[in-house]
Amino acid sequence: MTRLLALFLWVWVLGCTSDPPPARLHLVNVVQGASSLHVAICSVSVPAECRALDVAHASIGPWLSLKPGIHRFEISTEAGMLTTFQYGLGRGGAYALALYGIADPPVRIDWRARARELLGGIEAPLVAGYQVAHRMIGMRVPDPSAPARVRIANMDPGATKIAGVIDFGMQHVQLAPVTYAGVGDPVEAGRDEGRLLLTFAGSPLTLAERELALPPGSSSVVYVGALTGVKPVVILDLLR
Amino acid sequence: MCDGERCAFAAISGMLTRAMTKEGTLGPARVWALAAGGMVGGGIYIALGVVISVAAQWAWLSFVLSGVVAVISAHSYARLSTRFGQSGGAFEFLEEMDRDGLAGSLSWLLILGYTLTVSVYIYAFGHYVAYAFHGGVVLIRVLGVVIGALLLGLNLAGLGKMTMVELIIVSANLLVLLVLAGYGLARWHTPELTAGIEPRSPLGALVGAAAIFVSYEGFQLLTYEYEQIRNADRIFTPVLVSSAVFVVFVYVAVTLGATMFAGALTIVEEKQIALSIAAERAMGTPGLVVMTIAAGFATAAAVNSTLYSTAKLSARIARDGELPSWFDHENRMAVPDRPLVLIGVLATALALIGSLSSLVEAASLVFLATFVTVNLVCLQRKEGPRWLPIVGSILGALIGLVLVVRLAVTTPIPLVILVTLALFVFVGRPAILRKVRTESPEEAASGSEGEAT
Repeated sequence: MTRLLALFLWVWVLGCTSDPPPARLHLVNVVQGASSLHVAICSVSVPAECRALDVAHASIGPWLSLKPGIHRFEISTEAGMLTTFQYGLGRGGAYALALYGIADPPVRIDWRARARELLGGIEAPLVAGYQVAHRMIGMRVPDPSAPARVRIANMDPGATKIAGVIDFGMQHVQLAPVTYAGVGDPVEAGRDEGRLLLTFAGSPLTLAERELALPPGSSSVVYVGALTGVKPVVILDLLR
Repeated sequence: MCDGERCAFAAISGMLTRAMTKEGTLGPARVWALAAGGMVGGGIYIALGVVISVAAQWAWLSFVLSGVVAVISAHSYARLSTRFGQSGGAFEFLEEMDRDGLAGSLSWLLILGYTLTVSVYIYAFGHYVAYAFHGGVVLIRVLGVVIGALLLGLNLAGLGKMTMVELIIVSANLLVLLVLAGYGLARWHTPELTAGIEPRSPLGALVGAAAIFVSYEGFQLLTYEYEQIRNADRIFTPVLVSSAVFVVFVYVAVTLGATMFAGALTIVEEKQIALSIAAERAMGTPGLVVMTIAAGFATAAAVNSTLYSTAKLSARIARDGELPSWFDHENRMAVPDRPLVLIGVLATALALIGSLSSLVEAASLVFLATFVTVNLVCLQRKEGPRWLPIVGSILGALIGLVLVVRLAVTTPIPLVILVTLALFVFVGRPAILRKVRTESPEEAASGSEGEAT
């Protein structure tokens, strides 16, 4: 028992004395109605520690190295502030923060949305209609030898459910329908290269298609944003 | 009389059962371990992601809040079992209070709740084992069917209650969870509690408590075995209460410890296999292997004990005329085979449908209602300090109310299904029992013999 306690204290002291590795974060902008978003990120514990960057529409921002802890995010356009919120970031974690919705001036969020958010948890985002919202996605990389993992994120305001299928030639992998603001469960890809076909759930018509390179041990998220013309914005975020 | 093959099978099965259960006499250590294991067996493997999603950094407080209700209810259950000296739990208590109708209705709902719980344990088994083999939906479902069929077969063969085997599984499972929790706590880093998620208000802890209440239902199964417990009148209350307190500590420690390794967001995103991810991050492949084995055996043991106890409870209720006599049927191994097959097949089929978290939350309402009822019975019978069942009833009712609102706002369909079933049970049950036979042919025969005499 004494030895166990000593081991516990040793691991604890070791953990406390070493600096935690920073978290890595990048932003994905699929917000409709603004050419770019201005993002300010400030540490809550050290307010002077702030980062600011612009992320163009339909693009992924650069990887940012941030101190673990709670951070405040302020999202704005030239027209004004869109939303503010906070997220915690863990040591050594890799995250993608998706910004989606329509870049209109913020409106008051009613009590029903607040109740839904309180009762539903982080999978019930606090948002009014298609106002600009956010979703943090963990970019967990599986074992290097494990099959690639793919997820769909439906960020297309007005879309009901978006489904997908990855065509590997002889093999097809289904991606289950995902509702607006949702992120599907990861599926494991059978091969390294395939063609992704996106559809509205239940529709035989292909909404968009895209070639995918899926090396083993990688983790990919396919963001489907609002339609531009007849095709939606499709962004592939791959981490290996 | 039996033929040679049947007799040999019965003898072997009987020997095994006796060897494993020591003539069905459970000592305090076994009762303690089985009660703790009954709760931890499936609970923590399915609840962690759900509670962190709702309560974020206050997830540990959710386990404390629902734990307070569980500990007080365990006290009430134990005191009432000791008072009446009978197995049967809430059903028995209400019958002793001459509330046969309520006892019958509540027991029907409890059987439904247990069936859903078994299906979730099967679902969890499939996910944890399939993850270790990079298996997809097909493997998860195949594993679910295999474990459902295997445990159903074992139970039908009279090997359902092997307390020594359960004891070993429970002890190993608790050890693995405590090592993970201890190692995680030793690497404490507060930001991990909100890693990748938005911090939430402490009010979230109450919602979390409502969402995961089912994690504490397992101790009730021991009240169905009361007559198998050695010196039950002396040991049952302290053993059951201390095991419930211990489980609260285990849940809090595992919640905090596992989060230190996996981070809050990963646990929410991978809620079906959250502890495997945490163990893999803590100790690499060996950690994953150990956690998969622990989760596989623990969930299988939870399926087994819940299936066994629910079948026995169903037969017992049928004997008392509150279920059709069809349920009170034993096979040659003296196992209540019909309820066993019905519950086992239904639970396995439900597990194949997919995510059941909403349905299980709805089933949590059944357990909450039962716990509140038992606390009220305890209060009425003046068993122990009066303030205990009062606190348990009020907090239980509050958590139940929050759960009703949560279900109504987020996933109303399971709530509607449960309310419909509850209405059907309370209103339709007496009519059904009037139309079907509620005593076995033997009882009917002995009854008419008695009348003739």
